[in-house]
Amino acid sequence: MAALRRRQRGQALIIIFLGTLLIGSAMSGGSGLFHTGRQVPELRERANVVIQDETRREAVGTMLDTIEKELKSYAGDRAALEKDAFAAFDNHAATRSDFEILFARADSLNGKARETFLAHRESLRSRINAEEWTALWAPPKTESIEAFKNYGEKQGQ
Amino acid sequence: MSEAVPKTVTDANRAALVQAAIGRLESELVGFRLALDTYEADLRSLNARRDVQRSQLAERLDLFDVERKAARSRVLDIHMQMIGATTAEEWKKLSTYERAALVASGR
Repeated sequence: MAALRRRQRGQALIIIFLGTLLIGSAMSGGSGLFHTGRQVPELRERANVVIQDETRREAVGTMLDTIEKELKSYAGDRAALEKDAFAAFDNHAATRSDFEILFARADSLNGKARETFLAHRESLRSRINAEEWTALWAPPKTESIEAFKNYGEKQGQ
Repeated sequence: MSEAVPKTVTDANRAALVQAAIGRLESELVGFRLALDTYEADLRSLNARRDVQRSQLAERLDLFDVERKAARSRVLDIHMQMIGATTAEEWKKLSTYERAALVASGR
């Protein structure tokens, strides 16, 4: 049983991590923008609330639109690369050189994503002050167990 | 995948080599998971601070990339060991397991 669980855990880990392992994750989409757990639409909504200055708010909105567009394009390139990589893993005749060619493509894509990520963060930083920045990226508030209990008790009253 | 090996690879010596490779692959991915978790936590915390400079973030991105490429290279070694221990016909059957996992990993 333990061995079976270990095997299943191994399979699950392969499912989750091989894409990142092969290609990299400089410009993450799945774990949120810049790996923050926040997706672009949510950030846009928050920016609209926290940035009072209209000119800067619009500029940030435009930047987020650009980021969203680039994330979509990156996701397309990444999916195409993953498809080729999966085919190579299937192919018994695929050589180490075949993989090295794929890895070079992956590294090029990841390198571009790295530059994009760093450049976008700098642009956002130049348009958002410290207070707004904190409010924008603050982690979502999680309800405590006590709060849930209180809520349940109130509902039961 | 492990369960399919005895049914697919009939030669005991080669089957043992494949099983050992699957074990190494699992360990490798567990190690990579830890590195990825740390990396994501670090990035989240660095990004949350507006005063963090581009160079500081770049340093963390590059550090992870070095770890990732080393892990990828070890995973490729393991994959090639499995290929070396199987025939094309056997791999056709075994790769369906790997294939399902790899396809899902792209989502």
